Amino acid sequence: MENVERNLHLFRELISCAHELYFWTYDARGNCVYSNNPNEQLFKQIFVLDKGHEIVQTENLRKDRPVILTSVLGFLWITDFEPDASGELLYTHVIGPAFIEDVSSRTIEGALNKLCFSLALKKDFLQLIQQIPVISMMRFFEYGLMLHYCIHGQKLTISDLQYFQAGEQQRTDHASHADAHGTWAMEQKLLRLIEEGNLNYKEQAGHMVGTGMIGNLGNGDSIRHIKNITIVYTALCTRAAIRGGVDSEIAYTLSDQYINAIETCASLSEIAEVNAAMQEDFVRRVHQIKKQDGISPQVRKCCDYIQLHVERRVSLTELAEFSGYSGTYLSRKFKQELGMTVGEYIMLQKIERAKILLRAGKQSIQEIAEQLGIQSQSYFGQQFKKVTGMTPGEYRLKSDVEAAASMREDFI
Amino acid sequence: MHTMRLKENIDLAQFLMAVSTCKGEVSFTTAEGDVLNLKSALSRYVFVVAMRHPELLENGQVVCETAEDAAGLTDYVIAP
Repeated sequence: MENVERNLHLFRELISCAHELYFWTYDARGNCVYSNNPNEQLFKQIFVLDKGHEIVQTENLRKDRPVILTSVLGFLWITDFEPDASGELLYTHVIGPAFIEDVSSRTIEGALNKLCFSLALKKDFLQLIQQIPVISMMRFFEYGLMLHYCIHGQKLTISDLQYFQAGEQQRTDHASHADAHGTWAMEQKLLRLIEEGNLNYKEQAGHMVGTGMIGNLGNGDSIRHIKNITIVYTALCTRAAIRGGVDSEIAYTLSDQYINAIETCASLSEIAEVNAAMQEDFVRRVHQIKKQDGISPQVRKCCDYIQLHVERRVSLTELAEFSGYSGTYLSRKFKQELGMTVGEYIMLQKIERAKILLRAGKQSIQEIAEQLGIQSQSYFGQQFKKVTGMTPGEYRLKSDVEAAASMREDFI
Repeated sequence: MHTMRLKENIDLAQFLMAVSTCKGEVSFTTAEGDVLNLKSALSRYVFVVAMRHPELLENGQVVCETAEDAAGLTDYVIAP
């Protein structure tokens, strides 16, 4: 793309209006050829400590996607690659460093206070840490997408971002990473189970999945910190589901919906609920695809579309336009393959969504019915009972009892 | 213990990468008595930040547990 430097210049200027977030450019040999950071030499050293220089050599990282590099101290960098006309690496562009939540800088301060360093040494280090901006994770990821657009003229989504952790798990002076390796292995196992569409993923991945949490998230971490991890995990699950056969457009739309849901959570339990629902959703979709249950790709795509837009009215005309097939054809295919009409399938999906909302417990039955586009609460109740065998109220009560029983088991 | 001084104008990040390959403990001691464990993540960052001050670098010492490790750092250190 032409005018990369012009785009980057404007991007740098725009970001400087909001943050003290700096840019770096490395040539193909790893030499820094540009930076606007006033402490350039120092932060170049820190970038190397964070293994930033290894990103280019890391084979399992794509060179046509931005990479989010995480420091062991908790700050992040974004890198993206600019190719020359022949496709070879010309430059690596870097933005950073930044903290994505305030807890990290306080954690470092706490860890530093435990070390027997002189006041002068600690003060010097903390002054530098305090210069590093704190930016929300979503905003930071969006900067990565903008950087990519400046270089390539291509719009990506957050699910396209790659992640690289500053590698060596050496002894640290702060929060324990004793089980970091185990956490990573468990994460990979979960992603593989999602990619396989394995409905027994909870049993096979163990207790970590049952709590809906990932890795070692305790120790008083902030809600923001857990949201960040869950958002990253959602992106990874999205890609696992795509590898498992889920249509990419559907997967990315779902990913955005779940990430937005995570952002609105106000407690750990709400985040866990969304995380569990996300995992379950992706696993089931992959499972349905792999089951080869005689559902044609056209009908499956329509089913996915209906599920994505379950909270509004979806007409047969709209489905026909989306799929490229006539309404008559789709009606016949739904009846043949699913044994029900399009309208019956749509109602079934609304009931499935209602079950999730009833379990979440935040809305009244009337509110849930309205949210799903069903104006009459009594009609909603009739349809719900037809599908589940119980009223919405009975279902909610049953869920609450089961959840309470499950929590008691966890504490035993 | 093997005590040495850092050479001037070295690449500190490269020095720390070389320290990572040492088998024993390697520390940097400042004139003020701070002891930075150069194999510890947080201390490494503190070290890099501190070395902006030439007097800390000139008056500090690198301490290796083993002769083998000291020999592996000769590109970056000199005998006191």
